[in-house]
Amino acid sequence: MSQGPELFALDDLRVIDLTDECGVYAAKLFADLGADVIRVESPKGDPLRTQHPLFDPGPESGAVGPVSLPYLHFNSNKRAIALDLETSEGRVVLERLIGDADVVLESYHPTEAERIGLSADRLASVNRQLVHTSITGFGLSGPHRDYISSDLVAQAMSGLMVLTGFPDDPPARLPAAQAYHQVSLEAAVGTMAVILQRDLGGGGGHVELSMQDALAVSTAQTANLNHWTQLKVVPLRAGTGNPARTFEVDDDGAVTAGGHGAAPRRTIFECSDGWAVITPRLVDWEPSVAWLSELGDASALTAPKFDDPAARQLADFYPVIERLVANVPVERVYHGGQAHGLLNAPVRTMAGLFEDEQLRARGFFVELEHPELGTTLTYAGAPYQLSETPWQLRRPAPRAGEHTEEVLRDLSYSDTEIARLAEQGVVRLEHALVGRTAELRHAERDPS
Amino acid sequence: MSDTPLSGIRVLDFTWMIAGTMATRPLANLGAQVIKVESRARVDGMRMGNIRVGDPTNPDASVVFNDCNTSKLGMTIDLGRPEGIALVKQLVAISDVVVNNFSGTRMERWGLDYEALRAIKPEIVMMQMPVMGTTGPLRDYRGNGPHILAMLGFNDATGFPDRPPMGTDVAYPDFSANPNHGAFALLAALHYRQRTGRGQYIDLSQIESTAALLGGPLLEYTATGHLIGRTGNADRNHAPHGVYPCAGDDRWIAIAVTTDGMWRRLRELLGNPDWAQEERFDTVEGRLAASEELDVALANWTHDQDRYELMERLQSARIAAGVTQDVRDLVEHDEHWRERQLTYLEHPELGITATHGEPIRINGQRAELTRSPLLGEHTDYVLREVLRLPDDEVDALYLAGVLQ
Repeated sequence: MSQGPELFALDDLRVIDLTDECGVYAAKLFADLGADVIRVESPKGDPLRTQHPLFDPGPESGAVGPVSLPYLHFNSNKRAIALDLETSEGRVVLERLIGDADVVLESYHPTEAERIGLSADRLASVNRQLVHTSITGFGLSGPHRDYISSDLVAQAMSGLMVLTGFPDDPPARLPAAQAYHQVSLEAAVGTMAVILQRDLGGGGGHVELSMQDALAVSTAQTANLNHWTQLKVVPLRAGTGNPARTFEVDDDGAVTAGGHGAAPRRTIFECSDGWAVITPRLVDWEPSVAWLSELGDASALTAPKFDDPAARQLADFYPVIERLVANVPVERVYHGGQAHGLLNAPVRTMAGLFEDEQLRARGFFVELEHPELGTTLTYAGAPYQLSETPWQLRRPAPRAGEHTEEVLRDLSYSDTEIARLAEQGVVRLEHALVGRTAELRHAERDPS
Repeated sequence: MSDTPLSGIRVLDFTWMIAGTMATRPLANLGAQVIKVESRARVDGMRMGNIRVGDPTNPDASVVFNDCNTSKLGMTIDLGRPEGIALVKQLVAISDVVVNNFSGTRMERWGLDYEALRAIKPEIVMMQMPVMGTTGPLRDYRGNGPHILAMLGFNDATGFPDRPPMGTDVAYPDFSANPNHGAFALLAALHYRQRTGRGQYIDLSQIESTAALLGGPLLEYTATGHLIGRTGNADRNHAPHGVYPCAGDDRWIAIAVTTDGMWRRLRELLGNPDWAQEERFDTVEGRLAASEELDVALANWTHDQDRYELMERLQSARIAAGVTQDVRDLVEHDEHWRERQLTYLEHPELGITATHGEPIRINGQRAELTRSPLLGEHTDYVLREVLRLPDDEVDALYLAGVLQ
């Protein structure tokens, strides 16, 4: 395990993580900056431990079922307590945990949150200084409050899917659970804002985020809303063209091309070994021509009529680019264009990230030793570099119930009380490396 | 209890375009005093963005700028002049945070790098958020949302397997990973400063911040060698899971059966047809193995139904479902989103424009947004009421042309 720095930005905060997949990234953001994040799971195990994709560590690890890789990713640096919230004793323990915490992050459906005693009023009465953050599909108010959501449903209802893909295909979703990430990010920002309010002498508070609201930021923006409200135009997925929002601003802030109704703007071109994003701009006419001339015959762009900048159009570039990059490798298109200051980028697979010289030079990927799996795994690294209090992966995600006893002791439970709670099944003290098992799959939260 | 938790925090904001301005938007909406600094020679490029009204050179006629800069103050300072830089330094001395998303060494060339700011105010928190980060061999490379998505493998994993890797029309990183990671890092650094009195420097590389949203697939690749690739709307954990056609042109509903119980309720809603009684569909493993077959059957059932009525029926049966809404649907059909988020701002040049509200709700309150600042609108206010400069100094700055 890597050596920790002396200082963390958030190591004075205790966060109770009651989230499912919608909010688990919010808790990770706190854990990776040093907060003591305690994830509460059922004595049967955390349903997230069953999520594909899976990793089989082999029989010598003692794992019960193959281990969930998303679970490992989202829960590193956290502690885990196995506590049965379906028992009244379990809820008493939770209340003591909350009484001693700075933040509760939860993502229960609103009716479920009320059922197990997690309403905002109730938590505020337990701990006046608490920051309580509720993450839901559709929020705690409004006609769809009780709707059931998921990553796909949120991507659909927020307007993101209709903007993704080709016009003659069905709408498509973005990969890797972006609705869950987006709502988690905004929930973390809201939570930290109220932490800061406390720092400045104020009290705690309740923070509320809905997946639909959070993700619609990406789609309602770019003036999309006003395409409808003002122009009565509905932007839709346009495949290789992007006609509705085409415009171009030069480095001095002047509009140089486009406007609504302009010709579709192309972004993706096929190269000899794959695809590249090439977004020529009229302000970059000369460097673009210089770059294309290196690849072959770009004389179509040096015709005398183009001496007049007013005669130039983006559409003039496209056939030349299409012809000239067809025989050139993607990475040459990328670096060759950037050498001229052009916004060229490779369309890579995720495998390509591990070869990226910039990510490598900055040490983005992080290795973490997993004694429990008998291996070392490579993780995505820091989203930000803080000079004094670095982001850090300190330890792998916990085994089921790994810190039950430790956390109960933190709360001043005696040995006798701990033994009694364990005997009654309210908590589970044995650690287990739990993965995807049939029993745990059936323990999933069903919103019926 | 307050719904403006950041009252008392002052942000000196040099961000422009989208990824940076969206980082300070929630801070401003939640009560921080965000002072946006521009110069007339180099305005925020989004002031020229779509949709525009009237004169194409008017910096106050862009709807997209108005979206990204709600609740902020705006001032102009000529940063090409030493008096302008001196004025910025006076503002640094009374600010908590300085933030920008310029590429390269712009702040250094103005003499406003972190070392310079720290000399003025040791506990300042400074964040830079260029596309590639501020160090490394490719730090001067350029790009924005669509380039970042392509480079990181988002496009390769978006859409259908037999189609090119188009990705999305949304400049997604500009609205999600980069501004929100940025805002979180700033607030975390401020919390640390409150505890210790120490400021710090934050280097946010937009490609790293966006790659952090691919943690699961990246770990899968390093652990197993498998790349997720393009799989349409199928899911590894759930089936049926996809979008299904409804009555009308390009009308779809997303359905995600995420538990066995949901499958049983869906089967009932389908009218318990014989095909759906097969035992293999009772478990998620069986449904995943038969997902293409289930997709065809579901599409048969959905294709002549009204999408909103169907959503209502599915939701009444506690099944996760939602219409693939476009922006017209959000405004005209989605009473729920409209009530929670749709916000109209009155603007002297743009008239009434629509924007989304602040999605972060504090204590059940919807944050009050004010429209984005006109170019230089609050220059005078900032000098007199925030910096509290005497009248003669303000007059001298105007006369010398420093406030352009």
